[in-house]
Amino acid sequence: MSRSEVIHGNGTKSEEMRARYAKFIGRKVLFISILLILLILLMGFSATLGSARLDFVEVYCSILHNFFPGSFDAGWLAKTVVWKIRLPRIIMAVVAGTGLAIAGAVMQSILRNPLASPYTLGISSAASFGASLAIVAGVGIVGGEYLIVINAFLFAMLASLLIYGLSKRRNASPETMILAGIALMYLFSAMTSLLQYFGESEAVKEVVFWMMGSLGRASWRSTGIISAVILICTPYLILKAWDLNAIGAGDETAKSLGVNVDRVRIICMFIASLMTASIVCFTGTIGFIGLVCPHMVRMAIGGDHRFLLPASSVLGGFVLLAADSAARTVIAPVILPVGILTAFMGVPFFAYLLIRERRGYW
Amino acid sequence: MKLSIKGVGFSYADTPVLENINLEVDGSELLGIVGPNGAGKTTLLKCMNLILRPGAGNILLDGKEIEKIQRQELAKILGYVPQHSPKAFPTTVFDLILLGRRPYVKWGINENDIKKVTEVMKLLKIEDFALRYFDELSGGERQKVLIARALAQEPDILLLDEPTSNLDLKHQLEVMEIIKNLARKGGISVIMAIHDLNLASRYSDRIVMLKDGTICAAGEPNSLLTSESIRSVYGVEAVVVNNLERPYIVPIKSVDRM
Repeated sequence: MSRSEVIHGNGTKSEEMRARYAKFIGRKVLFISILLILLILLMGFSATLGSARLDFVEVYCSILHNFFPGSFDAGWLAKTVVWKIRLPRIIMAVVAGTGLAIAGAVMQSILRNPLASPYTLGISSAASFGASLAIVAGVGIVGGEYLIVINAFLFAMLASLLIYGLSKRRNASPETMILAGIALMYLFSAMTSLLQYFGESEAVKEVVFWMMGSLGRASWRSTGIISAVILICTPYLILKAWDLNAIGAGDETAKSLGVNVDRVRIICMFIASLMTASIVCFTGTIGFIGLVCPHMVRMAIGGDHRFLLPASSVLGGFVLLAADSAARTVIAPVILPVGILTAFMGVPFFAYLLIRERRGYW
Repeated sequence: MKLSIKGVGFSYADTPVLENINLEVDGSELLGIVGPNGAGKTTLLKCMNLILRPGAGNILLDGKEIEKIQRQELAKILGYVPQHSPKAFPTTVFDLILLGRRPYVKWGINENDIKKVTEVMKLLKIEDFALRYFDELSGGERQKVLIARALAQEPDILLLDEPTSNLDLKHQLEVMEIIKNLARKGGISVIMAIHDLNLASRYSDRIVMLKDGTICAAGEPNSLLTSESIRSVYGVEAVVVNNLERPYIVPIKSVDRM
């Protein structure tokens, strides 16, 4: 900085500050925009992947056929594969990734803990137990596949209610919630193991498959349900961005800034649990995304929730879709469970980021 | 803005921490709250802006009970700087100070918010590290950033919990000068809990001595800080040097309280 700037600094400094801040925000918006474009490109590319050997033109003619039936047409096989199998699966990957990443980001923020995620807080293991119970004890008796989904959902919500109940009896402090969540995770894992120990081998196999997480069960109906939950919950969470920012600075500071900390924490926890539950009950447990995507975004553009939440959601959708696309193609026609691929692809990349990161936090 | 504390008491579970506290602060004033560890200084500050709810008594702002004021509105009147902040995800200094605008913003940031943040940064001479990360700063710089955040709230009353703990000599004085100027020229009432009796003596307009949750003495530093009062509140024998502008305390040794 030159001497004249220091001396006549008053006006220029504040102008300069404004310009620097605008640039600072601009970078975040650019980051989200680029991610969004990449996600859309990946969706387009992913539609052409798969064991049914359809070429690019066939795929896009099938997609466009639904919008402009007069101008585009494709074979029956292409239309069926694209509209019944690939598109629901692609959209499921995007919305599930979106929801898991946002839920993870919110849980980490309200608990001020980098390890918080649907996985570590017992919500995923509760869903697993619910599904296992349905598979081992009840499938085919009533409801068929929906019994599994509903059971998984109910147990996931039960876990979040238990965490809520436990922490309500004390104060809703982050430490209480995390300890309650981890304790529940062990409890539900143990109960799932018990079911597996006594279950029929066929059922146990199915339980194991369920727990690996897969998008293979995606349909327009399940995609629609998840999308609806996410479209309702996400705007609310983004609207609460300032409250989440304030809680990040500490409960006392947040209170002194006018935030009703306990209420925000409990509502946000409930919404994040609801999003997680409605996703994992259809997909099975998909770890990693909720834990790591928010950290990747924080490393890239910082922790301001006005940008962290949208960016995490787009990145979550991107990572899950990329992993699922790989899961469908690496050893096609065998489709690997996507839960395995997210970890295989994500962990090395995340390890690289951790090593490269120079800030003291990570 | 006039802050009146009337008969306030507070207990953690069954342990009483504050009992029958009466205090009034009005206009430009720097009030120091001193007292031994556990005397209730921090608890009293936290009661003043409803981080804790007093179990007894009333706290009034211009005659209105603070319990009846919305938190959001309260945050425009009272700024608070805690003694400790928990470990947090990395945040830039600018974003952290911008948080002080939380009571005013809906979602987007407008020109005025950025102007206010820039102003307080200039006031505290911290513009140069606006886009640095808070956790990379030194203790003194961090304290200034936290004070800046509270000032971005445009408060009438500033509550500070041990603003100089963990600061080196130079930063202690810098921070205290800033605080004094806020009270003198900024028209803000500053209430600070502080351990260092000499800093309290030098900068406070008025001092309140807390002991075992009650106010045992209050007044101007010159009349309040005597060997007798220090012995009875702290259980410390001290020499008070009185030929300076303000009393200067030289502690000698610990003794039984009288």
